[in-house]
Amino acid sequence: MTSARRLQGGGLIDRSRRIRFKFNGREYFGHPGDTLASALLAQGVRLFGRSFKYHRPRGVIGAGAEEPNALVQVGEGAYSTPNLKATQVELYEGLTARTVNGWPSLAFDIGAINNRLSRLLPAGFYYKTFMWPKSAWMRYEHHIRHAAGLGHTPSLPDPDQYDKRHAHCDVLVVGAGPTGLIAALGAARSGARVMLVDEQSRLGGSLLAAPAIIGGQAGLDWASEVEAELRSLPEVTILSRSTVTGYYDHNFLSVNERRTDHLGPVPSDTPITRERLWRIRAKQVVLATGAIERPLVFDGNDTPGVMLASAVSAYIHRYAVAPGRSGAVFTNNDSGYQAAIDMTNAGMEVRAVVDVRVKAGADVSSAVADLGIPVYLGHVVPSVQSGLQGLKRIELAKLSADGRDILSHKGLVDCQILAVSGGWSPVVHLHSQSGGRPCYQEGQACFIPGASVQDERSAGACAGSFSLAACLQEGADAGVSAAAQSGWPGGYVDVPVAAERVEAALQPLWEVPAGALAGDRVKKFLDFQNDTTASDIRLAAREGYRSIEHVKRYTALGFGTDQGKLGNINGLAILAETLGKSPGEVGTTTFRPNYTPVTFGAVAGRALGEQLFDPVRKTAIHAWHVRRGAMFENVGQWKRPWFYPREGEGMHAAVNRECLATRSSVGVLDASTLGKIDIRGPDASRFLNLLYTNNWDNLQPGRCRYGFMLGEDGMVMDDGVTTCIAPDHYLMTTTTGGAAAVMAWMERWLQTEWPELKVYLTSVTDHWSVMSVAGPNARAVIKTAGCDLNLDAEAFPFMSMQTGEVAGIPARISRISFSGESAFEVSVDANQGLSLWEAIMTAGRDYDITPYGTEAMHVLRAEKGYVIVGQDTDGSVTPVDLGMDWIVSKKKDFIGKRSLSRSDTDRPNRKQLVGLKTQDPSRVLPEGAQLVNTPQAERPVPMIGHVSSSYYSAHLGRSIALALVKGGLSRMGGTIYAHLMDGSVVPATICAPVFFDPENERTKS
Amino acid sequence: MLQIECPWCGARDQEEFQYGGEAHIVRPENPDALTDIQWADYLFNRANVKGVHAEQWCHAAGCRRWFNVLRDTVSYKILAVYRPGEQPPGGEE
Amino acid sequence: MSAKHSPLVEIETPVIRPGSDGQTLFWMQEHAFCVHLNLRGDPSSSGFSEAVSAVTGIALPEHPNTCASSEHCRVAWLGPDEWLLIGVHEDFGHAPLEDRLAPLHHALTDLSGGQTILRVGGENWRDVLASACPFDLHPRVFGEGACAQTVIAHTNVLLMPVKDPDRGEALDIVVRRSFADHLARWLMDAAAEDGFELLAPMGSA
Repeated sequence: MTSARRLQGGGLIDRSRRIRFKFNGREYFGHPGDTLASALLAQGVRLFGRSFKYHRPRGVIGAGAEEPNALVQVGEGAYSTPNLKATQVELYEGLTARTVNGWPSLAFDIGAINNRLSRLLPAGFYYKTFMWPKSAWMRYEHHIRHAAGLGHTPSLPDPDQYDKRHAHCDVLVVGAGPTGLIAALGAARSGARVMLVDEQSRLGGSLLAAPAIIGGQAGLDWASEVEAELRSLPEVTILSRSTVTGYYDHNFLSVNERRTDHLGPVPSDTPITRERLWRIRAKQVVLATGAIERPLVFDGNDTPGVMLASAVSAYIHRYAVAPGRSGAVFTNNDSGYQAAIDMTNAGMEVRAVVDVRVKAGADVSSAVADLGIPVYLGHVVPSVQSGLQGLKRIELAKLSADGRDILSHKGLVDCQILAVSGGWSPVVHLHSQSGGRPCYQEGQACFIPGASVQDERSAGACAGSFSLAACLQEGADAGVSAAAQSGWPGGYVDVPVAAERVEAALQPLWEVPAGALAGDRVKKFLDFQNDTTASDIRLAAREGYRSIEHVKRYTALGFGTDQGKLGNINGLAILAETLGKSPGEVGTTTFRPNYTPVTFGAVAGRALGEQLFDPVRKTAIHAWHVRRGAMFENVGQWKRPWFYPREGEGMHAAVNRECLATRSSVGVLDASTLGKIDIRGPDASRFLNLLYTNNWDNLQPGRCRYGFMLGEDGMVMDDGVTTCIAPDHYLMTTTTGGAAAVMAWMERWLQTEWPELKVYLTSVTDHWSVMSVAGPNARAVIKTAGCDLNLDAEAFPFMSMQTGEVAGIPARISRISFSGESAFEVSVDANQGLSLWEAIMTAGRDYDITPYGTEAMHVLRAEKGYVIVGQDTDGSVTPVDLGMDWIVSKKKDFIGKRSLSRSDTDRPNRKQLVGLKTQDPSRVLPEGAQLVNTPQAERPVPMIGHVSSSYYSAHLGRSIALALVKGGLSRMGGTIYAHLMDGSVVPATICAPVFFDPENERTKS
Repeated sequence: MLQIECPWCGARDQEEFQYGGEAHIVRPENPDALTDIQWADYLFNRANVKGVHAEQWCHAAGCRRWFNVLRDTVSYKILAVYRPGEQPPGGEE
Repeated sequence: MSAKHSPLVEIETPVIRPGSDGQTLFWMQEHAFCVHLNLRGDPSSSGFSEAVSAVTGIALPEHPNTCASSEHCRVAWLGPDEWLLIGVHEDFGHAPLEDRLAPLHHALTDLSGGQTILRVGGENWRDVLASACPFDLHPRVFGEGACAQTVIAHTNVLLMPVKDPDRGEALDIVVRRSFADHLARWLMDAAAEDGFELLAPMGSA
């Protein structure tokens, strides 16, 4: 394989090294500095893929992020990445790539039949044909997507690592072309923190692709000097291979940095991240994102060999590739002439410059005349002819003065490359994302940034200033002023001299009329990736679409991975013409993040897996639970022991054993996760009266009370036991999941509604390790562990608290029970939590003390009918619905009280908490099961409730359940039916929700 | 991602804050004296403005203070921040 | 007196894991078992700040985001009516402070079991934290004498730049006990490329 099209000298490639790679199974080689596209073009490859809808052969059209055609799947297996642009993929040794669209092979593509059938596939075809009947869409969709398919998602887990980084800077400069480089320098010399972000592998932007003289030296040398100075400044950060993908509120921008893609797959034991997603907060932003050349819209403008004029120049200058033996230029402005000059200098035979205008700029005219290139003014290329390897010849025709008609056919011109230029589209994407509205500039026929909405300014080509001299001046001004506005006024930079051409104005020509050779299948492409043509836009307009946003969705214009960087402006201009409006009146579609696709890996970053996806909160006793082989349950962010299986024991056996041990001897639960709030101040009890439904005036020090907290809507929000430590000092417990929200809620009332209350809150959740020792032998275990308190029921009654020592550790001991057993809840400084737990386990050995998890806790509390907020309540349940009127004070005001007498909360037949006993005692209802009144009924069956908690109670030897049932409290003894997913119907008897020890004899003992 | 000026801690990332809805909704002195409709109005009805909105935020991961923010719900620009009990700058809304 | 266990009981130390270039540009060391006292009160009420300075020898920092320190303790601003007092020794000031503050509306709360300190340093510590911390850590805006409450990897933290006597410029991260294991694991993961050293904890009992 030879590099037939590689030039002997020049270019930014290292000819001394060869890089081997494969494309569609064939071996090729390139050099460091090459992209996949440039290396393939160098070896004469012209066909890169098939188009999305019509499966037409496609070649490379661009040289960067704007490329719509040359999409490739790079890498193998887990490392495979779909839909990369060959124009951006840097070569590495052993790279493998294949074209993403083309089956079974690129050269012979079955889908190409769509091209023959294209009259049957107009815009909106899929909507019109397959959306009816609605139910069938799912069936069609699979086949359509398969036929369409762009690339393949790897089926293996991604072995690469990704991360994120927050950054802050005074000035963020986006784009490191001449404008961005000088802006960054002007800003950085002030001492400001400057970030310069550029998507290419090296800085320089347009200077990489086109020769220029800046301040008397080669443009790239100037760029290297600027880069060297920037790198020497400590507060400057330069990110290459990094794309600013989004511009969000308050000058927050996201940057996708590709750190290793140019190196190929990194071994998984090397701790280097493949991509990094930067999250940058900038005080000021300078957008220097340049401009993208527009194609011209004519029949066959998608033929391989038709390329952007600037891309042709880029391949010649940057990559030393002459993309064909012969060429021509088709342009409506002066910049296209450069490609003719470059192609000639690269040894290509340039056979025509076809200029829509009747007059070209003096400088470019004389330059091409000197090279002897024929120029056809007032002419167009209405169509092309192609062979198997792409473009063969172009049609030449004279255009009418108004640009609407072809006056005469002028014959054919042989050429392999047609460099086209329809003018330039400033990259206004980020300006638009920042909230700005691009406005239409008639003279240059392009959209430029409108007024700034955030702290940003555009400079250079992205602001519509296309001459190098103007770019340098604007960049310098923007950098210096951005630094000054960020608080760093000392920036400066001399603007070097750059040659300027005397230019003639561009002449917009949005669509080239069909020529003499036009067949009946004229296709003038706007969006190459989605095969959207000029006639699709006209069809949409004929069918009544007026808004560009609607036309976009109807025709798929701009929907591809290139997001319409090439085609959108042509499309909206054609819509404008059709509607008799100006492009400015039609406006652009909304530019949304991301500018280029971002991988899911970068979005996820390090937040992966059990450990790092979300914080994992652990109690001080966690390590013991792990050693004991506990299975864990997530409760909020906490890991709580769920049950402790013994060898060969399943969940149900373990839970039954833990429940029975607690009821018959003693169990111990790690209750450290409950929220704990220290409440202090002279108004503490007044505050509790407002928060809780019951009365707190008469709670004595050393006594505990259970309370319900409601939202202002009257619905149960949280519950827990609060202990009076001193008249102005209380300790509140909350549910595990509700702790943070309850704390914030309490602070909010204090700070915003009742600032006069003298109350301070402090979260002490993490300070205390709490273990609940429960069961008939609980007292004996605490005694054995060593306690300096009289633990007898009379001296230390239920719902009281004392401070003392257990096993030599200072502790608060509370007689609180969520299990229905005689229980001692011991709280100690969490640094000593593990020690106390181990002491209790040792003390309990003779009683066969059994650690129990949350599942046994749930069973034990359900036997007692204790509710769990968030399981037996769902934000629509009042304390009255739970049958707990006794806890609701009639006398005082409290948050949510007024809502309890609203017409809806007051009505009969609300859902109320009841117990359920299945008539078959071995049948355990699934939680969430729907309850109805009859075993069979006409559909729709009125739903009258659901099962909220359901377990097998080993102690009672039967299943038990709690349920919310309409009017349940008045239906005791009645039968209700649970209709299950498997179609079975389970009858159950409604009963009181307390299944065990209704007199509380155990808890009090 | 907003950047919010905490009246105490200064400009911080939105990630540190918790949103609290419309500001300046005062809990009625004597809820029992209200009709269902008046109570429901306090409970449920909010201005939902397009434009300048007075709202509460809490610097949850910082000083844990609740405060008020004037924010344009269209542009997301923050026009002012002020402490609880204070009136928005520029007088009554 | 029974044994104390730090929140990082499950993470073995010391560990050295060099990064992609064989370097270790990040280190971390737990400073366990300090006395942490949370103080709430009105700094304008007479005798309040005097009580704090009498017991700690430190003037109560009343400016947001500042902290002050002496040889044995530090006081960090947490809010307009809230401070964190950290003492190195076990006998640090709860009782004497409570005595002096008794006439004033205040809340002095022992959180010693509820939080710990991760001290981090090394050439790239700011980059490692920036993997998941939205706060601007640049020395221009965040140096010694400053403190800030923010989040790292969805975990609330208090940050205090310090000079480590052995290792120089460093940062103390005060984190709640239950989150400490998560935060330490996050930082080790984030430091994998730079390389890290996990030192044996200070203050082990």
